[in-house]
Amino acid sequence: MRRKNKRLNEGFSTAVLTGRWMLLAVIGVSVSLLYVWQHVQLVRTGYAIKSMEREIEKWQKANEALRLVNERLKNPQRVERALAQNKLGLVFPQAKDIVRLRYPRHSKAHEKEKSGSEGGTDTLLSYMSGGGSVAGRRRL
Amino acid sequence: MRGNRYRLKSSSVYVVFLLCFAGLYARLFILQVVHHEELSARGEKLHRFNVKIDPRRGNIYDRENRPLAMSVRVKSAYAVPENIESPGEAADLIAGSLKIPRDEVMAKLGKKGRRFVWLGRKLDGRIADRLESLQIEGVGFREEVRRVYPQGALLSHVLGFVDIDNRGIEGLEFQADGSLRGQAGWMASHRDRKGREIMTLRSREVQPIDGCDLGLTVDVVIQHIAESELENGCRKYNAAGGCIIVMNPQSGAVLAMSSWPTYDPNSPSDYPQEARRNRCITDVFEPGSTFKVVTIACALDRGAVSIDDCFFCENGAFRVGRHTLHDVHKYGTLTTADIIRKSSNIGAVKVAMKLGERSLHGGIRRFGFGEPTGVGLPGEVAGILHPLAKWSGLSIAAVPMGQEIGVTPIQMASAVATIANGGLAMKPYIVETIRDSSGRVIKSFAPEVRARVVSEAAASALVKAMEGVPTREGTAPKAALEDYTVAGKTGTSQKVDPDGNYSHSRFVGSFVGFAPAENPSVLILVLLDEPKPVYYGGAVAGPIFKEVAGRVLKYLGVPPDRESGGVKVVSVPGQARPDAAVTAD
Repeated sequence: MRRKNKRLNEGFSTAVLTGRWMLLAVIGVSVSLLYVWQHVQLVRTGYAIKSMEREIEKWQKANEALRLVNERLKNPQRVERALAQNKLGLVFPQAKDIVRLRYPRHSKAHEKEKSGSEGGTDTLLSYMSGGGSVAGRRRL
Repeated sequence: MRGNRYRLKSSSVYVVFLLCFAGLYARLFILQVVHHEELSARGEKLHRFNVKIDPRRGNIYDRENRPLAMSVRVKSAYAVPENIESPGEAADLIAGSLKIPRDEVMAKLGKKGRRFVWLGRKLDGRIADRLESLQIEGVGFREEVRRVYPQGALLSHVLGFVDIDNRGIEGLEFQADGSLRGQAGWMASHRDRKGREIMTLRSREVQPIDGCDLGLTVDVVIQHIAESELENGCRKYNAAGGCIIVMNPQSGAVLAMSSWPTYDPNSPSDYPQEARRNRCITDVFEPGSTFKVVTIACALDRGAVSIDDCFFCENGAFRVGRHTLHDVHKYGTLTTADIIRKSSNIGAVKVAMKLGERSLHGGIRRFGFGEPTGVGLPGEVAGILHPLAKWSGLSIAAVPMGQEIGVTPIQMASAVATIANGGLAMKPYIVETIRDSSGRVIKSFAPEVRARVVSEAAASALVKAMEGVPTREGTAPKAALEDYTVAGKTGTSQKVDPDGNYSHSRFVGSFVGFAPAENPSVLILVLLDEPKPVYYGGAVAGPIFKEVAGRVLKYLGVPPDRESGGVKVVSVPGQARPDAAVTAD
């Protein structure tokens, strides 16, 4: 009986030991899997970041290209010659087309600013809005 | 018996497994320990890569922050010839896309032992996209930064250009290369078998430092006005070349600087070297009569003459030593002011004789002749001013009227700007600010007084005399503006022939003036090289001055300072000026 009990006790201890080892193994494998999963996630996130960086770069490049086109379109040579003169037919106003408006002085600040203008008045150049067209062309 | 067989079998399986594992461990040992160094180096070589990260080259802006030079990212195409199976077919496709001869492509692809050849650097977006869409095996793309000049030829001589590796070659690109270039960064990382970067294995990274931006004093619109009028003038008078400078005489800021013929810095190799020269700072010419203002300014400042003193101009012929000086017209007695107005050579020489050689030479030096102005552009020359010890007996009869002396257009413009500015010489400058990539100003260049050259009274008297030049009685009636007072001086000088004598067919015509005369906003120098058949400065450069000055003053919003015959004036009683709120301080 005592021998049987001893054998039973030994069997129980072995089972507990095996169970502990198996638990340890499961924990070890889980931790390893977690580590691998985490690593894979990191790499995937890295790819996603890289892909987004490429996307940002793409739009930045498109922005640069559009900015360049914008600046080229605003080139004064193009605006004056190609558009104003050739396309719209504008010309520079002649002296007879100009009306200078003379305003009375109204403030100290203005007096200071306009000290160069004659007759104690302000002047503002204004191009005539109608009549006297220059060879049928509009004024620039 | 059965138990023994079972044990034998299980032992055999155990031994087989043991041997397999032993073999595996042995192999593992060989790979990981014995060949560790070699294999890890091979792996590193395959997966590890270092990348240079190019910095953004700084932009260049005009005074209104309009970009004049920009950097954009573009693609460059390359080929790995050994990876191309059918070079003939590939060459057809590549040549068609890049619009280059097929033979040229074939020569590149046929290079034995070459693992890498450029097919096209810094391609236009559409061309690169077209080639990329063909997906040719062995053809790859790399991103690079291309320098572009959105305004085309505008201000090209000042901006200069860069080489294929974005190093400044000429102009400001060269002069400010250190500030514009920035510092490259780099990165060490690993890639997977598909060539994608594994960011978690990025070991080191040094971020690039972008180049600084330059803010110029130049205004794109004024530059355009100057360039278009200069081109019109050069074509009209069949000139071999020309240049124009627009400055603010009160600050020394250069508002426009142009030379003709010109070139497009986006493709500089398409133009001859002659067209790429910034004549405003590199060309030395005998100024001719424009130099009389310097002579008379010195004489007035030293009190050698007054503006109303009279000089007998010998009825057009004056003998000095063995040489006879001539005036274009025969003049009797002229005042100092008349000498400027009529541009009398004899009168100017007589003024200089009263002043004396030493004082004249000293005055010329004080005006800044004989040394670069320091405008901040590369290649500026000092001009030619002989030391007093080397002056001949005839120098006093030549230098006062702009002979025997070589000046650059920027020197002449600066000298007249000094007179316009009441005798105070301002250092001309073209770069106003240097800003870092975040827009923070790290260096700014304020107007700098170089020296007081002549007294205010002398300068003021001379300005009055110069106001007589663009009149019917003066030498440049075509330079007069309808609604602004103009002060200026014409110059016509003979060029020197290869035999060393003055040419009778090749001239330089110039006009330098400012407006409004009393309180000048702009100073403009116009110079035409070898205009034909008309060559007098007043006749060829005067009208260009008029066009440029008229348009620039209106663009700057400078109020007119004189009544014009053609312009109607309408009084608006009791009303405030519409833009008063904007202009009030």
